[in-house]
Amino acid sequence: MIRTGRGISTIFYPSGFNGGGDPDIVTLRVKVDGTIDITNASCEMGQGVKNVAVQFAAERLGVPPDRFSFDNNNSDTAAFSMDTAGTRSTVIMGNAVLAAADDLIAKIKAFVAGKFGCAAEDMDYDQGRAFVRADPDKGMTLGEFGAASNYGGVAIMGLGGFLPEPAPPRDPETGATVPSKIMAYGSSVVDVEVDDETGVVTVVNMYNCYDMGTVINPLQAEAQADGGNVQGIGMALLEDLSPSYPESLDLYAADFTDYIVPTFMDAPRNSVTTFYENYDPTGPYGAKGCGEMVVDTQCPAIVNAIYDAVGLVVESLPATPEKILRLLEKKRREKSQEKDRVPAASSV
Amino acid sequence: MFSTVGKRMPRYDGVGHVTGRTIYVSDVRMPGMLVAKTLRCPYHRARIVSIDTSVAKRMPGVHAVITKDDVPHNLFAMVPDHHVLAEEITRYKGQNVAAVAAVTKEAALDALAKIRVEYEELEAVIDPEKALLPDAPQVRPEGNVHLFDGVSPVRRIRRGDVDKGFAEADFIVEGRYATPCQEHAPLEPCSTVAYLDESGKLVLHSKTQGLYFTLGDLANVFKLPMNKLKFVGNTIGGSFGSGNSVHTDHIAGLLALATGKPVRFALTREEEILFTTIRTPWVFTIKDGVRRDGRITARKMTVLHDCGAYTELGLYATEKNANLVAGANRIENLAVDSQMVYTNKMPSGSMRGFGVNIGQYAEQVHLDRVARACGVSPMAIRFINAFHEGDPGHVGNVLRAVSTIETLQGVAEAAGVTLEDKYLAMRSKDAAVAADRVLENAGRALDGKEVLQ
Repeated sequence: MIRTGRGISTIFYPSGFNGGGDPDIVTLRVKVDGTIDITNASCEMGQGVKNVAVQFAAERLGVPPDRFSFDNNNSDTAAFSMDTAGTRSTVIMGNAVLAAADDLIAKIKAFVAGKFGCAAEDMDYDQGRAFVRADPDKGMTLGEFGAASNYGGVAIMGLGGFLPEPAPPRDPETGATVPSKIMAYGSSVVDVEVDDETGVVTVVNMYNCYDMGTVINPLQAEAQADGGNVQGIGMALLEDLSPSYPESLDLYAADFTDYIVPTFMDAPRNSVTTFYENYDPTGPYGAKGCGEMVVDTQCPAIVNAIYDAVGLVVESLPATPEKILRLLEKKRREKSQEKDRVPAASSV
Repeated sequence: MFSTVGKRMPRYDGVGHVTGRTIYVSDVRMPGMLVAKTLRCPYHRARIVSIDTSVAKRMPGVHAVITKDDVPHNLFAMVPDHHVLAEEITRYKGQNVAAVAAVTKEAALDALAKIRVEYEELEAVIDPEKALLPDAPQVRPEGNVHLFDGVSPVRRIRRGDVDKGFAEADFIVEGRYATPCQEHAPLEPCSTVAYLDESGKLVLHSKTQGLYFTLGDLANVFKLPMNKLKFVGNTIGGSFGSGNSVHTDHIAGLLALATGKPVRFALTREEEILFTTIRTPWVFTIKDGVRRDGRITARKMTVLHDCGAYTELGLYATEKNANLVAGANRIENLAVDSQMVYTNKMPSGSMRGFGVNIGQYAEQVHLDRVARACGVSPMAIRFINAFHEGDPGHVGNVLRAVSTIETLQGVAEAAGVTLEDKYLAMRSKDAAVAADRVLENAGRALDGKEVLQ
């Protein structure tokens, strides 16, 4: 029969390399028409890092996002990025974008100030235009600046970098150090159905609440979480390259017939992701990382839901139908021998 | 108020992706391009007695056959202990031994079949717990157990006094949890197109997810200055951490340098699954002391990371795991002993949730056991032990912008879970809660213990 269960999990996840010390650099170059190239070698692998860079730059420079291009294409032209990993790009590349934008604004002010015979301190910048504070009609838009600087033979680029402070060496006795300082938090509640005749577990509902600080692009954050839901289901229920491990590697998958990854058919029937925006003081506009945090809560919540449904603790991943059936059989045998000492689970 | 941040801006490259216009690395072709294939070791562990490539080199359509002697610097990876092409002792099944560049795939495969390698198969160790034993086959000449800080076989995390914490507990709850070998399974398999440009610069269209990460690594392998090496790519069909390890860039680059022609080295899906880095297996044991009211008084954990045959990113994962494995709970008395051991299998790559979510599975499943032992609900156990603002993390760093309580409240609301008023009223930044906790923890009476599971 189909038994239902509910499970819960809560986790935290750092942004950036463990132990810090992983910098990014960004350049901003204004073209003659005032459009802007952002360069940084972060990799776009589906997570949406290009949008994040553009949104940060557009916000800081006060111009529409369609003014920008993002060049990450090659190591000859894109500015340095340590890596695209460790849930680091939004926070570290993001801070570098803001630093580069601030640098560009300062340089534009100085350039335009020179055109009007005054000092950079006498200038303001607002929404893509630098102007004399005391006489706002005297000023230049980004387009005018782009033409005047490029055709004027004046090289101006916004340059910015960000380095998360490297951690001190560990204390060898206590392990004490200062790893990544920006931590994201998340919790999930999952409802499953367990068929106690086939051992098949179906994820019915998946509810997530994530604190990734300021959500830079909710569309992308929700999509990352959707992907995390599906990948979390794979980790919890399906994926095992070598079922005979650790005895041997004799059974080892070589294709997607033997290595089962989740498909749309395995996605939760209903999923809801909400955000609790607890701003981090050193994240760009208060953002924390998102990428990996959203693939952490699903697996333990599913395994806990399986316990709630059928009273089994799955002590090794994944919770395949075969494993569930073997555990149910073992439980039946033990039950017939003695009363289970473990008190029944309270429901969440 | 923000103007652009926080907006649901559509994907920068979304239309290109969904219309098939995006040019991925797998789509790149060059005129006169050769095809690369590699000969892989068929044993988990072996000694290479001899390699004879002379026949293969004379095969029609073959432009180059290379072995370890043709690699300027035969070590690569984040911790550069992995051989580009196998040295005398191979350490895992599928390790690259030789590589061929030929005019067609068929010519390349025919040439591979003519490479004569004499192997002496050696005893291998697959099980990380067996690899710890003193008489286990030695995966590395330095031994199977990684030495932290160059001296310690164990990475220790210590806070408070676990013996005192266990003495204060009403229940002791123990568990053991294991995770398997997992594949990243990106849609786009790993590939490289390498060629020399008009100036002699080696250009690699690469599926790496760390353009500069790989550039720095392979500049050493090729012994090229960075103005003679260019990586192109950075819009790729998924990675999930697989692209932090080099699988095709080094060999494609070496063959382009050897032949002067464009070379494409693209893994089949089978090769991608069988022979690239994986999420390696871990074993966790957790022993918790908990009071009747649900407060954890002590936690002792052991972690065993099966890193595979080479370090790759495995050490990074072990260190990160050690910092976080005790979970988003305030644990006053904590002892974590982490070990990393080498075995004869695919090396540890990075995979999304890297080094952390496998431990979160163990810790969060164990926490439910703890809840059952003391008869509080799974929701309550998490509120009772939650981190608060300013709590020290497990390695001593002060936590800020803490949201365990608030995300629990948020998810309870979304899922329609009714919380008790005291949990609804909890706040991460509630100083009174933090103060109460200090009082509560002071001078708890000892009690009888019950060992569960």
